[in-house]
Amino acid sequence: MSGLEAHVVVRRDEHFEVDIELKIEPGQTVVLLGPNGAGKSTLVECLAGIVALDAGQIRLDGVPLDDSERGVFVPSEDRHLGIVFQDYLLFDHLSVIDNVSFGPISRGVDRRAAHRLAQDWLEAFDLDEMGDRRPPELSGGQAQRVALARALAAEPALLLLDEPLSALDTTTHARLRRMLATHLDRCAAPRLLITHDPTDAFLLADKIYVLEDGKVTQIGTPDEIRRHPATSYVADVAGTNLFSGICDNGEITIVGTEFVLHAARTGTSGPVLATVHPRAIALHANEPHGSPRNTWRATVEAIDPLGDITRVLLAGPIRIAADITPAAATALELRVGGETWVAVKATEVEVSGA
Amino acid sequence: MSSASGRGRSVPTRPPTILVALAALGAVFFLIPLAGLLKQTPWSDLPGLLTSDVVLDALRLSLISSIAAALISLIFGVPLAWLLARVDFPGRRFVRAVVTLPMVLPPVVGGAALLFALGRRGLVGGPIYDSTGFLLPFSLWGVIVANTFVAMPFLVVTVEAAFANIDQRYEAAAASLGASRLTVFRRVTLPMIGPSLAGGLVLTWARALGEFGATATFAGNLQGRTQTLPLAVFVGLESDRGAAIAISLVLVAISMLVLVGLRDRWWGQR
Repeated sequence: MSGLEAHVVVRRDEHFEVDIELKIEPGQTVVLLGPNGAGKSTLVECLAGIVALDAGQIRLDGVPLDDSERGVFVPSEDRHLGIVFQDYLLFDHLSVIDNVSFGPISRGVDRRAAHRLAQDWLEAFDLDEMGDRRPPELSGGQAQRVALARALAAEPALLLLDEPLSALDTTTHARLRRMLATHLDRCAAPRLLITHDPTDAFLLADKIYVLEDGKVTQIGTPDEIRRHPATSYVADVAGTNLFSGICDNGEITIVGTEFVLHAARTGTSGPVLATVHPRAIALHANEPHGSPRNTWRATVEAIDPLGDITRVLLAGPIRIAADITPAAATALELRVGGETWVAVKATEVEVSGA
Repeated sequence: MSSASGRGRSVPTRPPTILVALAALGAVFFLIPLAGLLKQTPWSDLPGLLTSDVVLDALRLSLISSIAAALISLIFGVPLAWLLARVDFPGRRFVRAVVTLPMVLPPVVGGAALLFALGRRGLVGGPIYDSTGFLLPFSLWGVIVANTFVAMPFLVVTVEAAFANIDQRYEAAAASLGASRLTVFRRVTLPMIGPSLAGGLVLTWARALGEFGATATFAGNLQGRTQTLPLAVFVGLESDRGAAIAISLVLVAISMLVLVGLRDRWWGQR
């Protein structure tokens, strides 16, 4: 069996237990999405060999790395991992090429061969000229690529990316996410990305695991998660409506359609990502008049009651999810296949660089 | 809008008179001895005094013994500091107390303790002398041992703090890349504490260079064999004041250099 199979159980204290089952195929990107304190870092520490399991096991390509019952524990240095840390943790006292060749040299490759290998990786990441620099001289984007190159040069059997985008400002964030999306495919190993940012999860994941309170509450493709959130947390963060579009003076033409979303605040033009929170969408029985800039007619595709909110999936010029109160759903007499008016204020359309 | 970086005219402040007066007296207290030393210096005889046998012998012994003590402290002190900072072993607090004791112990007592342990009839020195005839006290080796005993704690304390304070995630990152524990220590941990290590080493060396009490007790005061610069100053005050003053000036100069070397690292760039 190749890939990662893990059942991670760690008791942090009597009130908090992390219990996660996880499976990642080679070449597949799994994103673990969850709020702070959900147990994401604990999972990373267990996979990295920093924390030992209280129960369960971790197997990588069929080899047990940690098995509490059988008393197996492979130390970090023998696990063949590639880890990209949140703040990269590049070695400031070593040059870029020494950073990238650190893995191969540690695994016994001789210095010259390791440097050649590292140089190949630097070229693959458009860092040819950077080999002699020190990490503090790099831009954020260059540092991220060096961190990724360093992880991949170690030829990892598992690539772990621990919040690799979270320390960045919005503009850099979008640019580096694109960069990451392009470069992740260079790694044929199973890839696990940890994040609390739903947009990162949707754009980078083959499969999303939602983690809440130490437990996996939902597993699915980005589309499945967005359309059928299983909990109100998922509905809140992972249910965000996300569209690629071309922005021109506040008018965003959604890719693949002729539909135009009006946004209030946008300095950018060209390719953008537009997000609309499901809570920001109002539904009306008749055509609404007054302030909302975006109104259209839609067909109800599905109605999911999620406790204190009801998620309504709508088909039409664009597919969008709306969260309304159960009372409103009743008052509107919504039914699958029926029609309703959708209204979104221009101020509720968030725009960021694609 | 005001900001922390944008500064206007500096606001006049009037420090309390009593604080200024006490501070000034405190500073003068340190200045007077230096002035006294410079006042007594026979400047015209200085070249001759500095090249006399007594001074040159003492300088040679001091340099050899203090550098040797610093190197020995480096070899044993760094692993000791690492162990104290990173490994939770039973008796760690006791070991730390014993290792740092020489920092507060009167050096004469340290020298006496070394004599009881390593002397001809000592706990460890006795058996060594009986089987090999080798005697540590009253030799250059004795000077080095006394210097190391008194100075190494400064290295251990400085470096232990550095080991405890570095971001250990860098070591985890190195381990995840396949580096063994020793490789992590050599290629990541040590370079990361480099500045503290250099500072601690200079401090250790300076302490060894100035060592008097333990050396006099354990190694004696034999010109050309165990008489280091501080011992030569002490003897010179009785017999040759000119030589004592010349050596004192040398030690003041070295101390000043050490201070300048450490200043940027320890006191910031103010």
